Amino acid sequence: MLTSLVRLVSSRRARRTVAAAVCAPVLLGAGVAAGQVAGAWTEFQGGPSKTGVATDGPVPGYRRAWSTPFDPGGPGDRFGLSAPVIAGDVAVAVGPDAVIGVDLGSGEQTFAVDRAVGPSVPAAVAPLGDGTAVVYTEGWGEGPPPAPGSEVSPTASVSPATIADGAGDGPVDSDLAAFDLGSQERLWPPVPLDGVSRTGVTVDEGSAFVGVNGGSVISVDLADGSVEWRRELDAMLVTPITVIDATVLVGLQGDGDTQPVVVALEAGTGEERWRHEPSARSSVVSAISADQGSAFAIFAGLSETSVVALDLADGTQRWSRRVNATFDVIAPPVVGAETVFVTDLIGHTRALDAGTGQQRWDFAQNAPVFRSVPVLVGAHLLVPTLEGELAAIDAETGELVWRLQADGAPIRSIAAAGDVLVTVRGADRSGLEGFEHDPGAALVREASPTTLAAGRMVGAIAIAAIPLLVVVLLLGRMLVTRMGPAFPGDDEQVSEDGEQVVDPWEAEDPTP
Amino acid sequence: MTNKNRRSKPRDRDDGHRSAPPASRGAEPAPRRGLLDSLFSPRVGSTSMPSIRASAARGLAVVAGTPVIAVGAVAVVVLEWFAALALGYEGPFALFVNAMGLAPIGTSFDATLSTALFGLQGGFFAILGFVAFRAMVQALLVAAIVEVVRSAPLGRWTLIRALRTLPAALAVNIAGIGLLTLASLLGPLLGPAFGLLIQMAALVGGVYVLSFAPVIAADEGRRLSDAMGRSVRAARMPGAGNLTLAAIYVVASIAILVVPGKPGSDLGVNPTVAAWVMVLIANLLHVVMQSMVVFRYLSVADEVPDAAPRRQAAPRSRSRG
Repeated sequence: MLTSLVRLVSSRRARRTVAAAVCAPVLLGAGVAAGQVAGAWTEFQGGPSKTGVATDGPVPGYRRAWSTPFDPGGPGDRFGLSAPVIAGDVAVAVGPDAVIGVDLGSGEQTFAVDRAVGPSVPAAVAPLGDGTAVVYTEGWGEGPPPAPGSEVSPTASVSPATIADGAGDGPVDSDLAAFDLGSQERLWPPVPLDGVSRTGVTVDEGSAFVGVNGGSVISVDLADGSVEWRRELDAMLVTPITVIDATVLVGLQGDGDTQPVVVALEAGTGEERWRHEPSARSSVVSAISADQGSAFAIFAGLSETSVVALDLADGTQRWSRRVNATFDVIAPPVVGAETVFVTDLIGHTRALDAGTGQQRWDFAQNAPVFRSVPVLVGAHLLVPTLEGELAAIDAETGELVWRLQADGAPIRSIAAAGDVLVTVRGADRSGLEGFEHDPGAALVREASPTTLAAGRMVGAIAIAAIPLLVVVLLLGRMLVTRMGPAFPGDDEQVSEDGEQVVDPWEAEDPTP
Repeated sequence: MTNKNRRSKPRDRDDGHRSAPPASRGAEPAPRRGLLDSLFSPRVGSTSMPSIRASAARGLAVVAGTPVIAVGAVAVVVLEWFAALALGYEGPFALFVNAMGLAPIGTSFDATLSTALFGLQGGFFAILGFVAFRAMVQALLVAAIVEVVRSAPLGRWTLIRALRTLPAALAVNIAGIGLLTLASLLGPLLGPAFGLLIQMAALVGGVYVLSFAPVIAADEGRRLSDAMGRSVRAARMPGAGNLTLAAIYVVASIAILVVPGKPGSDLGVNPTVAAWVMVLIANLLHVVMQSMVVFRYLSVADEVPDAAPRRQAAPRSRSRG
């Protein structure tokens, strides 16, 4: 019933009315209240600094507590849910045409708010007055690219968002919207954006920051939806925006002529503080994470891929660590207390010293990690994979302590919510799943396959080589006996005039 | 000093070796042909080149029947793996199936390994070291195989023969890098399908025209340029089947490299027994291929035409109107 009501209320025609109705109390009475969701997993990778760290959470191993299916939607019905965020006892995820809420205890869906069809990118939740705001982007412009081999028109079933009252009449690519978590009512009229947004929403100090594909960054006051500033950066922007210490960090992708860059903006005004360009020729930069006075990112190009640490004050490079691997750009490095964790597309995780970049350990999971973002929960790095495997790695030693066997359905992202881990699944298990600690789970201590076990390796060589050589040499004896010399007359060589030829090499004394 | 005047008695064998007609014997200078002649001239005729099957049997007999070569090949692969580990390589081990490959298959392995270890920029320079090591191993191997095929004992002369093979082996492997680089530059310009075709063609072409050069240097002690030119002429001898052999070799080498799910495909520094068995067998087969090349060249060495004399510049005729 509630869901139906929300869908009705959030229909596009009704939206303007509702927006006008709900804006008044917000504008009149609400300031940003602190504390309601503080410490929770309020946005992609935990919070505005995108460290991917939850200090508390269930310890490995895990068991499935609940599962909430969600049918893929959008053009071609091929788009699932975004990374979840946590608001109190509700997990919020963005689907292609709705924002849904799921009860953390039972896994039951508690609400679904319609949105204009758009990329499934994470929402953010933030305290607002007495309630909690859920902020998200919607709209897809001309729609996504068609699936390979699909004949679906890219514009199929995509409805452009509509510019809010007073802002214009035509369709726009996308907008920023917000609703109250408790009532699911619009908080303010949608804020039009310059283009399609894939960055998700980052919230800090009462402001929401969002970027669009073309490189615009916009800051919106959460209290009333007013635009605080807008900054044109004129390069592709598709990775989440990071905010720390009143600094907005934006990763801009390069193209054939330009390098990718990390740009730091003043959170209050949008003024550019600094920008960092990699020294080596690169083409892409990952999402950025920041902590302890440093920003961390991965620059990748044809020639090399490097994890870099930048000084937050001026953007100078503190260290750079070359890693010959390919990374998913939407996944920022996970930043623990003294360690930075990066996981490449083949599931090879490296733990780097946050101060120096020196590698502390690595673990090769040997499973594809794409659009599956690792997180650090307590003392364990959790690495989900495209095949549905979930590995828990001891963050101190780099040993695998527990593994959820792959079931073929991708685990996209993880959000830590107290005693529960909320994951987004894809393919056959599309939807949300909750995991809780399983006291009966068998834990292991498994070293990475990249850790040399000299005895075992030498043993394998001996077991393989000795019998193989014995067989080969026996075969050789048989063949030589049967076939004889290649050139039977070679020991009686004659020249063209019939004289015996002596190899001049063999007539020489090799000793000087 | 060379032994290029050395001649073997004409002989017929029952191992698939065909005796060439007397008219084709000798090292008559080939008439100089233009580029299009080289590409499109008919491949009719017969040589003493053994059949691929006979060559394979002889190659297998050489490798399996010579403990030094068989054990040496295994030892080289193991040593290369240890060296890669020492340099920080973390797998996959299956890449080593082509460790002992002929250029440019083996050179491609060097390029992949050096890039994995040092990145694209650093790897570009590191590959020169890798290729130098490959050339040394190949020179030793070819010298040893030549001795075995010639029924000569292995000894210090083998080392000397290897020394004079080294420049040709080095040149062949550097030419392999050049071919791979050229193919990788041309490939993207022609689209994905053509790009793959170009890459394959470069590998086949490289094996086809380059593989005899180290053998010629080892057996005949010819100068580098002479050995390279003679290698091309030997490869192009009508009816020899060298192109077919090169194509089979390249396709098999690529197939074993890309087949999914094979042992040793994952990152890791402790390959399983199955992975070692696969890699060692693959590399022994590469050495068998090298032995086939040696045997095939030695079988037709007498028939390879000498380089055509350079064209004399036509006297200028000035017509004055």
